[in-house]
Amino acid sequence: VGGDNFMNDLLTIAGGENVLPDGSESYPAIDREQLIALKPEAVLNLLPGASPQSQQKAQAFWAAAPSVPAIQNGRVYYLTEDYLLWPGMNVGNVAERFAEKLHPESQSRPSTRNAASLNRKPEEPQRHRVTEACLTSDPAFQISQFNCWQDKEHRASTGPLCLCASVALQNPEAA
Amino acid sequence: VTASRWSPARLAISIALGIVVSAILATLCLLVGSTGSVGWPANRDVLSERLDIVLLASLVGAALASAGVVYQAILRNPLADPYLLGVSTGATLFAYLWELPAATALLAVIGGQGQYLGQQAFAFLGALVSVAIVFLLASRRGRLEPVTLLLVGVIVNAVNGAIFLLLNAVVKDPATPGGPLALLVGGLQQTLPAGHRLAAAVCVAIGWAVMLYLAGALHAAGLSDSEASALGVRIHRLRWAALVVASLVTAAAVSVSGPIGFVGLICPHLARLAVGNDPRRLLPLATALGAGLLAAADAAARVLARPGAAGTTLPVGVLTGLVGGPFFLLLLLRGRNER
Repeated sequence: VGGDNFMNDLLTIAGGENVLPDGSESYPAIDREQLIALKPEAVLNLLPGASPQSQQKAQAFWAAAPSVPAIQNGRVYYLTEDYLLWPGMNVGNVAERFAEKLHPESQSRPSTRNAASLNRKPEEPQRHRVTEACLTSDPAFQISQFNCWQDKEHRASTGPLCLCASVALQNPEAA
Repeated sequence: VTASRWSPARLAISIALGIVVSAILATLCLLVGSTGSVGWPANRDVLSERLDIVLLASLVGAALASAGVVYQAILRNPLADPYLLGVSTGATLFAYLWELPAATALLAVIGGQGQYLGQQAFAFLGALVSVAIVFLLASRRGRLEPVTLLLVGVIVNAVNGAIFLLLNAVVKDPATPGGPLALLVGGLQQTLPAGHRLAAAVCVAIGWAVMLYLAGALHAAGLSDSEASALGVRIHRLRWAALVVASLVTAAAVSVSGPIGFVGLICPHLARLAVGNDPRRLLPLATALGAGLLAAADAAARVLARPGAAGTTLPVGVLTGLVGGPFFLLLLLRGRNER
């Protein structure tokens, strides 16, 4: 992924650094030559719900580009959780999966709060959910904000609900 | 337009010329990359990367253009292209089926030994199944009539496309880049095992030799059925042979590239401008043109992908469609004005 989207934010929260700069196209389709030039140190290949044969195909793709540093270091990771690309209540889990792969040596797993649980009142029906940006004053938490729909009609009756990732690395400097 | 008599020596010369010209073009295509660098790549990996893609583009272009010559001749229809008989949509549909989790068990059984049958092999199978259905439905008492074939082909294409979209709606894939919709527009695959490339190349090479062998009879088949028969051409048998071989060649190309549009339609017409309507002359030139043009189109797609420009590698099918369509119209209108 490029910059300026929630996947890039989650990657940053998980202590990763995108090889593509901020302001680049959000979801570019880049070929292998560009990959070789970008020199990624680790690759998180997201294959949500992919069948085994699709995973095998992805592995064949990476195996055929031996000069990419991530392949030399054996750091191509395949994630197959269904929710990987959903900008929904699992974003915290996504950041956690990323952090596990990117910092396997770190004993301290990032503590995540799936944002949907932040403000949500249990009696609220889901379709009335109104999303807003998370705000917190706790500096240990890096906040990701992403575009959500706003349902103005129901806003007054249900109140705002945060739906965003807030993941803290216990030692952010180490990342 | 035909100037002098056709002879095997001329054939050999035109084949040699075609190889040389497309080799020069292919070498030029090696010089441009998707990172914006121009010149001979310093990195060996980058070189082999570009070599792979240029060779594949040449193979696919050559296959589509030569199949296009044969389809246009045997169906007596200048608008015939290699995708008319359901090959492309059959391959696309099966390539999509391959990705679905429901196919896992089946693919493991066919593939055996913990390996899954590859997507390209499955797409090839799909192309053959689809074109076999077209032949089955279109043949009457063992004979194929061009008009029936075209209609059945159009309908099978439409049904395949509808099944594809129906599956896509039912499965509800997220619309990710490189997802199922990317299969609908042709692009050169970068995940091909060497074996698949080799299999496709062998299939195209054998098919091409057979098509060249049939080219003389195809020239006569451009006349009406009765005239061709009077010239000693067994027209019904020829039609079967030519269509089956051209479909195999197309299937081999489509299974490694997806449906890349317009190459199979335009290259025969371009070649026709130069050497006239004789398939024996047309086939070598159109093949070389197809190889060169698709390699060039792919190189152009890579240049357009420079991070500064678009960032995204365009599927080459987008480019051939965008450039090929208007260009074809231009040819058509110019021809009309001259008449």
